[in-house]
Amino acid sequence: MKKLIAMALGAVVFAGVTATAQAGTLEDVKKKGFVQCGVSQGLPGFSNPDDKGNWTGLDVDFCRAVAAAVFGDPNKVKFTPLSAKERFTALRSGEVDLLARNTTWTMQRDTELGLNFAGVNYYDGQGFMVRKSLGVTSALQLNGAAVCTNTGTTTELNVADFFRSHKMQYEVVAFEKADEVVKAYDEGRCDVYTTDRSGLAAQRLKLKNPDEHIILPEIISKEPLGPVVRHGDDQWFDIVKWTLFAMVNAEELGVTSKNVDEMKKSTNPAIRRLLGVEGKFGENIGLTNDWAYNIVKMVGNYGEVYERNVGPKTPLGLARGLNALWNKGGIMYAPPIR
Amino acid sequence: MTTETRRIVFYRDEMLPPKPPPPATTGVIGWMRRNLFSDWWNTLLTFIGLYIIWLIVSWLVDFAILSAVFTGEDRNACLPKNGVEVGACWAFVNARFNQFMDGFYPTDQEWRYLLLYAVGIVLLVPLLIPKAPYKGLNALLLFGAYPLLAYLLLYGAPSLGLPVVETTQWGGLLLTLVIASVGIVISLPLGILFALGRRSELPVIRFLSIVFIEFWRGVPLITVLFMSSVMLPLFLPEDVTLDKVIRPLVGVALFAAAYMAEVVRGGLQAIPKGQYEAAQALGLTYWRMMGLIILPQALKLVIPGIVNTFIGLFKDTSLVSIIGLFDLLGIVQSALSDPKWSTPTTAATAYLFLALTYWLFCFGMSRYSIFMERYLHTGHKR
Amino acid sequence: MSTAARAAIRQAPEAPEELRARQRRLVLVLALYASSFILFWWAASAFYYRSYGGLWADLAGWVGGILSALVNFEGGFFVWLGRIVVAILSVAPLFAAIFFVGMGYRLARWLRDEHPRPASANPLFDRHFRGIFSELFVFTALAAFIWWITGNTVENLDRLGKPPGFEFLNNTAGFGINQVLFVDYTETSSYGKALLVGVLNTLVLSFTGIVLATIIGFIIGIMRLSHNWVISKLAAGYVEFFRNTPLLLQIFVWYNVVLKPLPGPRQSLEIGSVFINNRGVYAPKPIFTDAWWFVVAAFVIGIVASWIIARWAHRRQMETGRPFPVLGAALALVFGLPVITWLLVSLFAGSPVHFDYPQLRGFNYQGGMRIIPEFMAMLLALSIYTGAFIGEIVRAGIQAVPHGQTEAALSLGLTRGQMLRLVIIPQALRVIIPPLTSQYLNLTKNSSLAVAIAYPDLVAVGGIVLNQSGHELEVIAIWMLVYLSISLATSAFMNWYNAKMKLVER
Repeated sequence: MKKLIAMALGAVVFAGVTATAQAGTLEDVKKKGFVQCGVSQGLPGFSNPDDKGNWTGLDVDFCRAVAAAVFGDPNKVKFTPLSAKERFTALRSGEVDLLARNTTWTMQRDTELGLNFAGVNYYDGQGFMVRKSLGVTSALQLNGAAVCTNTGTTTELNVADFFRSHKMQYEVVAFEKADEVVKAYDEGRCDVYTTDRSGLAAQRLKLKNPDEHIILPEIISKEPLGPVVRHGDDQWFDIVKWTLFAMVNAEELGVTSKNVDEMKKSTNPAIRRLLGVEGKFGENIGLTNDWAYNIVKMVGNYGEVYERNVGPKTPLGLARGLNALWNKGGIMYAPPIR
Repeated sequence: MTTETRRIVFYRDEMLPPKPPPPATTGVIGWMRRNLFSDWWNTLLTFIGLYIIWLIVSWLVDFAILSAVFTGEDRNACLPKNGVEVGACWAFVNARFNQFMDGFYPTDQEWRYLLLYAVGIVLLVPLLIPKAPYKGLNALLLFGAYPLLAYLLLYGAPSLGLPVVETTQWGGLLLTLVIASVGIVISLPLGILFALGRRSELPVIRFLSIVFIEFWRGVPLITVLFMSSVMLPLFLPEDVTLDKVIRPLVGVALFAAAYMAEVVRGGLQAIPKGQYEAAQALGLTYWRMMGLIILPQALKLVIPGIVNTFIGLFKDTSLVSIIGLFDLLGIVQSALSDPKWSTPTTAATAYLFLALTYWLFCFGMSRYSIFMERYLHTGHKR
Repeated sequence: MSTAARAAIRQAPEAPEELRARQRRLVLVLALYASSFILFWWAASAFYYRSYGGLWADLAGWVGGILSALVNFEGGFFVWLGRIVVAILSVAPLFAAIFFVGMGYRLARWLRDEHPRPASANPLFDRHFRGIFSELFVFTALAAFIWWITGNTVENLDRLGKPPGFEFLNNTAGFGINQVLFVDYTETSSYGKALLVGVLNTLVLSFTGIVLATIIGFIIGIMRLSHNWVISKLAAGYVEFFRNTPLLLQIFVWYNVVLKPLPGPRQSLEIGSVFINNRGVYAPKPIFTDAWWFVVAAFVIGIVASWIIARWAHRRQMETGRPFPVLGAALALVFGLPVITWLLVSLFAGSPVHFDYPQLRGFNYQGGMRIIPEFMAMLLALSIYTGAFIGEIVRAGIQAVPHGQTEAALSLGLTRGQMLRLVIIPQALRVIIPPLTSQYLNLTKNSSLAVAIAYPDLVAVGGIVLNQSGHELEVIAIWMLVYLSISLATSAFMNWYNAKMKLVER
């Protein structure tokens, strides 16, 4: 009966309604032929559309990697730009299959909001940006400052905690859209702009004169950013989780998009398992065995994706830092495929 | 001797031609003396008013035309020159014009909505001219066939060789017009239904109509939009999702329907009771009475009110930019954050462009409503 | 029809075909009634089957909760409000049952009543019968729809492990708000209190906006009626321009084009001790000593005294016809008395007021009174936009007073001022007030656009709460409830005022 009403409603509201099977997310995705991925409304380096609506960025590439793992085609993905306010509802209501929107992993979100974090694809921390002309060198000198930030983010809470714990006065000006925050800061409504440090580096590009601003050294919070899926679908959770792990493992094993075909002949058992030459790891999560091969071949390993989107050679110019592999001084670490 | 006094009676057999009034009371000068300089206070007011007008006009002309920049590739064109600020940066609007008109609609498919506009104008204009013939057929085409055509052209139909253009690619003026016209087309019949419900004799139906109307009129549109964008997914079964553009459409249409219902109710109340009684005496059923006798008269009475509701609806479409749709206002706001074009006058220019665009549409509609008011008024004069 | 006559008819022997028709009709009625009832219960049980889990038990808990919430006010008001809503929703079947009993009663009465038509006529063509059943049908369909939606929502929330409820309002908010009035709010206060701050900000903005819009509107309305061509065209241009562009655009213009380019704090514009910069307007803040109460008392005494004088003057004028300059006396009392008291107090106990001046400390001005630019932008946009509409209303109101009234007033020898005050304005107000009310309501509702420029009104703060807590349903319910109550309260007040003004009419 429920189906019947849904169908009747579908007939009324013409093409807007898409009814999908109630089965697992993987079947749904396969049936409609693409991954619907929730991304930000425009954050350079992470998810940003160009003039023609083509998306690029670290999060965007992660979505493409999932598409590559599922379909063997990184272009079978559609992007839904979401505001901070809409993002969780959109994921929970099934509007998107996957949320890769520089979202901080917190306990409340993981447990209370019906979400599952599939891992961390960028370790970040919140920082402050100020005008050089103010002569500020430390966040502890910011007593009495006006702070611009985004509503509905962990940023807004962290900044309150920071100022309160240091017994400093501040005025918060919280906007709905990231663009508005940047604009307000740039036009002098605030002394300080605060968000994740990666975000600071990205949004700095949107300022009139990026060179007139500095990012203060303090990092006031832990912001592990990662892809999110709905609670309660373990198979899909596994696929998204292991897509990320495969990308990190590939970097660790030295498998890149350029040498992946040669690597298939490698004798290293770890590489052979990763690329599906040995074992049936792909089939066990409902994919084909060359799933990880497709990811690396078509999108690249984690290091490549990082360098391409946010690394030192990009306008953002972010050093690997914490995001380097565990054996190279960072904390990026993936469980082995075996 | 009697002196005969001859009384000479002199009279004219024709009137003297009236002398022209003193030159100071007629013509331009007289008009000015009466309306502008009748006393010192009035004269003072006139000069203050003229000064204000001069300030506005001179600023506008200087900003928008004289010191404006019309061409340029990026912000360098519009930066202050030799320390002198330039006026409007039309180069920015020019560079983004396509985006302002249709968002991210594929360039090679632009003919689709242009064709749609053309068909729309061809169908709409005769309907608006009271004397043009074939009103029924015209309305049928506009409200029956046209939405279907609009859907096929805008969204696409691969079987007809029109590739699908996702609604996420719609934007700019196109999206504004889509939302406004869908809102208008849905809200009018819904509003009529609720107005009838509110004046119904059946207590439950009347009560439900009142609750519906007062609820939507009592809450701000922005909360309705938030509700439709955040809550509609929760209201529907897990396996049904609504398109991002359709969600606010539902909110806008219901919201406008409540206001429309009140306008139509005003018209229904103005119809004399005798009309109802006459219709009933003829043995007409409720729907026939309403459809054939009451509504045609009532709607005609409230056309100005309906058009005013449309104007409100058209202005209110700009609110969808808050929930992240790129309508005309939304896309301009987002274009303003492009550092490539960030100059001191970019925002003012873009807003001036927006104000003019919205104003043209709304002012046009309001003029039409005044025209209809006058037209209908003479029709009713006894 | 009298009871006796009815009894007589009932006792009269019925023709067999008449009896069969009566039975057919009874069966038809019962079948229709039963089928709509079954449809209704199907929908209802579909909902309860899905969400029975503890709704009634919750209800019992809420009753206890309401009592404790009343005692402990930290955000308690909204928790309380929310519980009432949920309670009403969950006893909806009770209302439905009452409805069905009522409809059954109406049907039974219809069956018993004598009709102008013979019983053999098809009841489907009977007006009353059709009325009853169309109501049954509409109600059932609507109830089924509501239950379908509620069921979906409850199921969706259940699946996500997120039971609906307003308890989260007692949790710590943790975010800052940059305009807090009348209550003390810090980051450690609760979500409920944050919402309260939002409501107060909405009310303050709406109230100041209404006052300013009324002033602007009356000026514009009177300008439009001016005999001076330039002035009336200027006002017409104002109205046509501001009425025909979206309010949201005007808000953006005031905020982004007018207020943001103001100089920074260190280059503030100075007017006396008032500082204007892109962080807002800073003015000295008066601080009142205890002696100030004498001045307040003098003010109150002034008001009471003027009221007494006004009554006395009215009575004297009624009896003897001698007028008394009430207005002048009242002004002298209301303003003169406090000023004299002020001077006296200053003389004996030192000035009852001293000022806290804003000073540039660190990044910004500290101390004094401050109006944030977001508030300024909202206030300007709202009052100028609404002022255009009010201007038209005022014009229409004054034009609605027949010219004969003016002539009559002048021929009675009233001065122009008296004519306006005693004849024109009271009559014009009667036409002006109803649409003016709806403009006030519009302004209040439009103040919700503040969310676009970060003024922390109810919608903006609610948005933050919604986001941080993940309770969409509850926050949106609170939005709707608050705006609905403001709307209903305003229209109730204005209806009362309207009725009072109407009494003047004979």
